[in-house]
Amino acid sequence: MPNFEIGLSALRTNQFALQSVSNNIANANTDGYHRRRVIQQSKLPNQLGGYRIGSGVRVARIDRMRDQVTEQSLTKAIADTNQVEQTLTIQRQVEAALLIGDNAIGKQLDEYFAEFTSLSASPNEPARRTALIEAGSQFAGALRDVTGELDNLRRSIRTQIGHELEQFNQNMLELSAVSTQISSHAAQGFDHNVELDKRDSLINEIASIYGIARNESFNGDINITISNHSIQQGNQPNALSVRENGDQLEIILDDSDAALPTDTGRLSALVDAYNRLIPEYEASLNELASSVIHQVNQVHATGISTAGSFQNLVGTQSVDDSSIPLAQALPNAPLTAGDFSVTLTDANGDRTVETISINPATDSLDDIAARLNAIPDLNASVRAGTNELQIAAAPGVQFDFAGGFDSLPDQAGVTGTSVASLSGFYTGESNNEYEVRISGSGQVGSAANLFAEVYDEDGVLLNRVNVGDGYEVGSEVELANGIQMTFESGTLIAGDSFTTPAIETPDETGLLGSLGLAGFFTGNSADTIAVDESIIDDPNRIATGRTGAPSDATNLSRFIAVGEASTMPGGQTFSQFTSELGTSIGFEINTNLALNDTLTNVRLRLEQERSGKSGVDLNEELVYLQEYQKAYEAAARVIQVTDELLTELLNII
Amino acid sequence: MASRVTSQIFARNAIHFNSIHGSALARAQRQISSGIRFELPSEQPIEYRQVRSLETRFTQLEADKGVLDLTTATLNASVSQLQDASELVTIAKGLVQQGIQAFDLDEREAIATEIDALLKQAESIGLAQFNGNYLFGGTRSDQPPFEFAKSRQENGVLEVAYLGTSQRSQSHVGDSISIDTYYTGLEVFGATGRESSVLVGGTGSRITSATDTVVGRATLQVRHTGTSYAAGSGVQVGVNSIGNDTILGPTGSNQLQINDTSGTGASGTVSLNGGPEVTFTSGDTNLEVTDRDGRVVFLDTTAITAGFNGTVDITATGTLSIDGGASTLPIDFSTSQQVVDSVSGRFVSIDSSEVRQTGDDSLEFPGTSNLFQVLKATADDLRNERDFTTTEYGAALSRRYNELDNAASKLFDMMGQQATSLRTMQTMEERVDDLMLSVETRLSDIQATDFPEAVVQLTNSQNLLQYTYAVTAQLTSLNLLQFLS
Repeated sequence: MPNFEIGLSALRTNQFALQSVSNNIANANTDGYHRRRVIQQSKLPNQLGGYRIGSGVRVARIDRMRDQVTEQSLTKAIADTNQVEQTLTIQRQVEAALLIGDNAIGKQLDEYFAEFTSLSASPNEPARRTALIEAGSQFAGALRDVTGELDNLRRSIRTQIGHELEQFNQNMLELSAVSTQISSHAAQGFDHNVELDKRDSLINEIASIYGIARNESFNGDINITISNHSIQQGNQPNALSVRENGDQLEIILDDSDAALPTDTGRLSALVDAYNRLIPEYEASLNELASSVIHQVNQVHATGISTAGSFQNLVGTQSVDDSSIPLAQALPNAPLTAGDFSVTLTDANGDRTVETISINPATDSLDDIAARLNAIPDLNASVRAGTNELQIAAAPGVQFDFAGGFDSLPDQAGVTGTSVASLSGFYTGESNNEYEVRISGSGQVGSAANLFAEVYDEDGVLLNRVNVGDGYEVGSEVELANGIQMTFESGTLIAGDSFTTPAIETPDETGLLGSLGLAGFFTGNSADTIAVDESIIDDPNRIATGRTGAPSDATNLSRFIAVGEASTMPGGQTFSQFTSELGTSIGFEINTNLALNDTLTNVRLRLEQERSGKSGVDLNEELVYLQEYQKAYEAAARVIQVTDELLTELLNII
Repeated sequence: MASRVTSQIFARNAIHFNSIHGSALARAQRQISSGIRFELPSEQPIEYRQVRSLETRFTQLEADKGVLDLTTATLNASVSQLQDASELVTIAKGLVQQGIQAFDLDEREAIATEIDALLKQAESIGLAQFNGNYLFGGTRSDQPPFEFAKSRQENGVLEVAYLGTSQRSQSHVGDSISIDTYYTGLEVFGATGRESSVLVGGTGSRITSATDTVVGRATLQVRHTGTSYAAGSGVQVGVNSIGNDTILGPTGSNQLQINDTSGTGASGTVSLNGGPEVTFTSGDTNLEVTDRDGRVVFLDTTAITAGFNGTVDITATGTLSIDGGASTLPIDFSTSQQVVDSVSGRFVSIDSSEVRQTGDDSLEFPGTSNLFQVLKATADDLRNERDFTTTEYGAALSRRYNELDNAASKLFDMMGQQATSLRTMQTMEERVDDLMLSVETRLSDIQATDFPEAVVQLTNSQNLLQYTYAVTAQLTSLNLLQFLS
């Protein structure tokens, strides 16, 4: 007996397949969509006599076309590429902050030190001095700008980390919901391909934020882990949060105490930039700034400007506690134990060098102030409230840190009546103490065999000068290294002697630069560096020399030497160090660009593979469409034929 | 490549390669448009490091060049002034030679006037400025290095105060080369170095071999303070003796010859050091007796011992002074007496052992005057303001000539030093120019766009992009729908 069942099953099955193909076509460009394939199956045959005849067709299942390994690899590639891309974005911003624009610190630094050379040709030219101040301000401004840019970038990254975490946790919520739906549908035997697609998409989105690993079992169950932590996909979704540990950020999973490692994903790149990349560049800039400030200030403080020596001076750098050793109070300051010399100039212009010893490991700022205070005509104290060192000279007396020698050496060791005085400019390359011993006795300028013998601190005879017959009383004769001595009329006795310090490096300790005394710059870091206001207000305060004369450029050569010195890590000059900042970020970007190319190619290949497996090919779907359409038409014909057969039978009745 | 290719793969490929070629095209466009091969270190890290190093070097070289230019200009100005000074001294020397041979006072005055003009010119050179700075003040270049007073010092020397420093100003090229710019006025125009002192005069004073400290010139005033006579003759000092006797000398160095022709001491003759005999009477209280050299004593002969015929030893004391009498030193007739100028504290050692007469001696301290003082002294000597004899006049001018000669040598020495510096700087400037060119060339090699290469890259990227568009359009237009009726 013919029936409609077979045709009807074919009709229904092909209609179903047609709908599936239509859905594939509809989702051809849907991201994360995996094409479906309707799997048809013959229905169980009917027993008819000794024969089994098929009873039609039915839909066995709908397959979601995918490759498990490709999907896993793609998730990892997405995490990797997002991490590298995010890192590149940040590095490019760092690069831009360091180098783009007129404020590039390297060029400003070069210009600044070149101005010292230019100024040496005309040290007292106001325009040149202003140019130097302007170059210094530009350099300081550039450092502050870059530091500000990096600081802004870091704050922006902090905000972005919050957004990414929010998105991550939202995705985790959705993942939890989808996982629940999948479990529910699976338990009921319902198709849940849509949910699986959504889960895959969510996993990839999560991986783009924070690197996760996915492990799928044969039956389609998926195990997701972050680091070694398995993520629940049930009713209680996991969540990430950020914790501040000092200046560092840590990513925490749920209530765990342990911070998660940051390897892949955008969040990793952001946290790494926040914790390492930007602080490293900020630290380098601070290192550059503090070194420039310290070294320039050391030279500046040990010179004398045309405005003259000081009557009163206050350091610009304060300490938190003036009673603890200076090395602890200023832990980042380059302080060392050594001698510290102050030169006092009285109303007659006579200069006296006073030297104290300082050991930053044991001496506090209070100790140092007390030691300076013990020097005659000098008052030193630590300012209450600000904890800054303040030095003042007695009325009629001025002080500076230019070193030199005693212009009127102590005559205690001279029993004769002739008075010796010293003049000139000390050109020695290190600190020394010269002793002048008298050989022979008699009237200066007329006695026979009357000599002044000059010894250095090691007892080496440097010079032997006739001050007897043939010496013009009151005239200058060379002591040593640019120092001239003069003997007035009177007698000198054999064995008479006097000494004078000869100070080339008045501050062996680095105290002046560390405390900001008479410096060119104020501040101690890249974000606080600035040209001292007193210098901006009065360019004559630039210490171009060591005598105070307007065209004395002796100090400028020392500034130039600072610019040329290889004092930065790795034996680099300031300029090389600055260039290296740009070069290193350039290398990092370059390396990451190459890595990004590789990862992008890997991701592209994996996406192609996934597309090859799971993607919708419209032409292919059209072929299927044709195929199912024809099958549908044929099934309809089968029903029509069956109907005709039944009609024929009924006509017999 | 997967065997199953979907339209998504075509799309992704199209987007991927469009991005790659577009990026390359943009890079080529930027290179060609800007003329720079790269701007950021990330584009060429190694080359960027080289560029920064070269840029730093170029900035330094630019600064060095600026210093060399300004220093060269300064030294050129300085050398030019020194050449003028040198010519001036040469002219002065010629005038001194004329002066030595000139016997006519008007001619000497005319020559002295010319020297005066040269002095003014020298003063102007000493105060020469360049670029707002005084050339010969050392490191104190912001104020006039010399102050020329109209008055003279106590010792008769033109008062010239040097207000500069004794330290040259230096320009710095790099961190190791220094070039002296502003020389000190002392080394250019200052004293050339003390020579043996000179004393001209008739008092019998002599210069010792000791090193004096007085500078320029001075007048040694030899004055009488007292005369005493050996006992026995009854002769006594006259009323005007003190201060008016012109003899000086220790006991016995001067003698009176008294002959009491009356035998009672009422009258007779008296002579000094064998000079002309003068008649005396017992009424003379202020008898002037002169010896053959013109030295004078005033005698009181009211108590001549009756019948005295014989010689009487004279002791005549006096003082020495070089500060116009502000301070005096009793003459001890020794070989060395230190006469001090109470104003300056400087001294001169005098051999007074042969001092026999009062008067003013001229002291000169060659090599202790600066050029301006030498010129002024030359004019003074041409005018013979110290009333020298013809011989002394000629000798004084000869000494001025020598001093001018020494001053000229000093100027030549300074000019030589500056000329050497200029030559060195010229060499350095050429080297700096070469280095700058070299750095610029190297910068251009590294940083500038290689246009043929960039154009080829542009064309290549353009073609590849066109191919990408074409193949994408071709592939996406191929569809089964076109074949389905």
